[in-house]
Order: sequence, then structure tokens, then C-alpha cells
Amino acid sequence: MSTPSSSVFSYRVLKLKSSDGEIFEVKQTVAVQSGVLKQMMEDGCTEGEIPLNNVDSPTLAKIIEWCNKHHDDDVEGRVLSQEKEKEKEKADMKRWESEFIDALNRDELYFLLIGSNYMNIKELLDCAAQKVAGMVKGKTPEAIREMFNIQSDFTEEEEKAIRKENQWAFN
Amino acid sequence: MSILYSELIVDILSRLPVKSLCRFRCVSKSWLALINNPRFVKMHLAQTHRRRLVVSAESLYSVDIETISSNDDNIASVEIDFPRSKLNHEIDSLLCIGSCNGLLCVLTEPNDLVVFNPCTNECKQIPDFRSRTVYEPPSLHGFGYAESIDDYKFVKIEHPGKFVDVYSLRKDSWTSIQNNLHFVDKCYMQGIPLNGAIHWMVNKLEDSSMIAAFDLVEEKFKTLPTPDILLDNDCIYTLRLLRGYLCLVTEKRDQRNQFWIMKEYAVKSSWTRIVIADLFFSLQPLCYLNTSETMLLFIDMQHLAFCNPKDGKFKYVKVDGIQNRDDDVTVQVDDVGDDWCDVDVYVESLVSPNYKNDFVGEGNL
Repeated sequence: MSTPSSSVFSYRVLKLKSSDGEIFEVKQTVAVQSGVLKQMMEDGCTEGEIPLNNVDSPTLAKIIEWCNKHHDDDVEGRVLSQEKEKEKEKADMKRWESEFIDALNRDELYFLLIGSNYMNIKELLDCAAQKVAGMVKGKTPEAIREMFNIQSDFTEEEEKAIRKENQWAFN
Repeated sequence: MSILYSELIVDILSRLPVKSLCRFRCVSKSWLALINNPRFVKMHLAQTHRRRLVVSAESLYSVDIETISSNDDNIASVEIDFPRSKLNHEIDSLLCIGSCNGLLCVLTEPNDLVVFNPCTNECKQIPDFRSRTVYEPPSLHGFGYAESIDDYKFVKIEHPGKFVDVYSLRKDSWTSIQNNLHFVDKCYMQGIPLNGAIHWMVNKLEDSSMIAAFDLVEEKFKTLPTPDILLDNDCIYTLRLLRGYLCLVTEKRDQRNQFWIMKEYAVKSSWTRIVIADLFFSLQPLCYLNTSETMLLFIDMQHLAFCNPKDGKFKYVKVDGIQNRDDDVTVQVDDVGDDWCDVDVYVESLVSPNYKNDFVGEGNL
């Protein structure tokens, strides 16, 4: 059997243009992790530069780092490793992911969240959203308002009542 | 974080523990509306699978399954703060007799039934619930959810089983339906909710056992195939739920080291036998521990144990924090040496036993 045409394909690169005008070259096999880019490839409209207006260059660099780590060059041809090795690989990847996410500061994390949502990269979005969830879960309503820049629109009495109703959740 | 779009905020909130979300109701009106929105409640239920055990031992106790490791010898429990003051009468003891989507059905001595969410502390008393004998559940009963009509129903069948009594949480009322399946009841049996039906193992009049599934939408019985083992009346068969699969446990003399799992719903050939090394008299598979193949089991109505996936051996584990019961209390198990009598699994959820929020803020998600 001859190799399927996808292998020719796999060495082709996409040119991604960040919101601040920087060009990043990414192999198609890596870019396919983005739902948006995958759709564009299937529609055959990936010629030239692809503008990503919601993703700046530091964020796009991070996103590409993630995708490079998570893609398999040759999934079909890879010999299935032993159960133990697979488990180890999985654990190694989990460790890499948490180190990757933990190294980001708050702004970088938010931009990554927005970027992965915009480019539709589910695993990265999951990982980033889970990290933010971990950051907010122990906070007070006041801290949340500050963090998300929300003004409370309760009247004093309303707030008193709603707090009383949920008082147990503050302990 | 004001730059985050609301869809991302909804995504993040759907990953939070229930307690955080109850606190965040106080952030603003739109957060309050979102957290109470039934669609968000469902989204949160689908996204977070934080499982807990409920142990009924006079009071109710809760154990966080996600933090348990198979290396533990003791696991911690906390007493669930049951809102006794909201009910009209004194309560002596509590028994959980059903669990579905984070809602528990709690039988309160002397004789009431309450739908209770232990995470939000909301409860609703089921009206006109009276079983014939004091502090004894009806012989067949079950609590389940039907997605297509978005309703929770409690079903009971009292001896001699001519009628099925169905309580709808949405309508907040009972109906009585002629039983379309003839079977003889055996003993106290908690039905298993799955796929919009409640399942029991029952005996037909012709002396063979079968799985009866009461469809909560159509409100009638159908039957499901059993595995190809001899299903006779000389032993007890019990249904359980494990990882979303229906399980069948037999207490046959020669089968005290195995149980069956129905891997594909209603498909006879999908019944798979799980063999474990140690013997038991009765077995309740509860769940698998987080990211491992170690099973948590309730054995002989007495002991919690881990089952090692490699050799199938039990390792017993003690639950801390459960208070000693009074000596004169009668319970339903023969031996309560470990101070508990019933264990079930539930998930943390925002699901409310009261349907009041149905039309509030529906459009805001």
C-alpha cells in the first residue's frame, strides 16, 4: 500500500498571524488541534497568512508550545507501547501540563483562556479553565467582584438577605 | 478579569464546588440568576463529578470520595447538617433510601420522607407519605430522574404489589397506577435509577427471577434480560449501580466471589462477570477511586473495603467521625459493630428539590 496523501500534507505549514502582526509557522499536523484551523484546512482556505485577531504573539507562542507537545507525528505507525509505559507517559504529560499552566501569571492565563477558546483547542481550554476555577473557588464574593471587575447591584437589604440565606457557605 | 467573556465565566463557574457557588450567589444579581438557572445547574452537574458517600447511622455522614486513596486505613467523614428545624416534628434518626443527581431521599423517623440536597442544604418534604409500619421503607421503592420530562419521581410498591404509587417532584403529587407486571415482592429493596427507569430484581409468580424496570415517563414496567446464570429462588439477587452500569450481585454459595455488570443497557450478551478473590456474604460495589481501577465496596452490610484491581483482594478501611449510637436503637442489619448500617454514593450538585426557580432567569445564560 502506498502512503496516504496525508503524509504529503503533514509537512505543509500554516502561517498564523497574531493580533500584533507577528507570523508563526505551524505544521498542519500540529495546527489540527485547533477546531477553527482544522475547519479552515478542510475548507481549503489556509493559503497565505491566517489572521488571529484575538490572540497576541506571547499567547500564540504559548498555544503553539502546547500544541507541539500534544501532537503525535505518526499516530498510525507508532507501536503500541506497554500498559506501564502508557501510564507513565500519561503521568509525564499531566506533570508537563500543570507545570506549563502554573508558570503563567494571571494575565497570561486569562489571555491563554481567551486564545484557546477563540481557536477552539478543547484540551488547553479545559486545562486553563480548571486552573482559573482552582484560583477562584476559595475566594469571598468581595474578592470575586474585584477579580472580575463586577459592581454589586444588590441593595443593602437584598445583600443582607442573600448572605443570610447562604451563610453556611462562608464557613 | 473583566476582559473574560461571559461564556468563559460560565465555563469556569461550572467547574466549581457547590459551596463556592452558593457563596458566589452574593456577588451580583446576574451571578445569582446564573447560579440558580436550571440550565446552569444541569451544565454544572455534567461538568463536575465530585462524588461523596452518604453513610446512614442514625444521622447522615458524608465522605469525600475524590480525596480517598487505596493506601488509606482510615477515611474521614463529616456529619451532614440535616435541616431538622424546617420539619414539623422531632426526628430521631435518618436513613438515606435513594440517591440521584445529588438529591437524596431521606426517611426520617418516625415516618416522613424528605428530598434533600446535602450540598445546598435545601429540602422538601414529600406530602402524604405513609408506609404501613413505622420506620420501615416500603418493600419496593426507588428514586430516579427522567430527563425527557425533567422530573424526579419517587416510586413505591407495597405488599401485595397490585399498585405502583408514584410521586412526581415537579407536580408535587402522588398517583396510583395498576401494576402491569405480576411479581411477588421479596423484601426491602431499593431500586436502582438508570436511563429514566428504576430497576429491581423481583420474583415472578412462576418462580424465576427477573429485572423489572419501571419507566418513569411512561409509568409502566418492562423487563430486562439477566445473565445466563441459573436464576432461581433459593438465593438473593441484588441490583446495584457501578460507574453508570447496572450490576447484579448474587449471594449463591458458589458465587460469593463475583458479580455481573451489564455493559450495554438492556443487551443480554453484554453481561460481564467480575471475579474478585475474597469471599463475601453480601456485596455492594460503590464506585471506582479517582483515576484508578481500585473499587470501593461495602461488604456484608458492615465494612468498607478497597478491592485491589491486580489480585482482587480486599483491604478494609475504617470511617472516622461516626458517633456511637444508643444501645437501645433497633437497626436493620444484624451486626452494627462498625456503627453504621447503610452506605450510598451521591454527587455534589446544585439541583434543587424545589422547582420554584423554573422560570426565573431562564433567558440569562
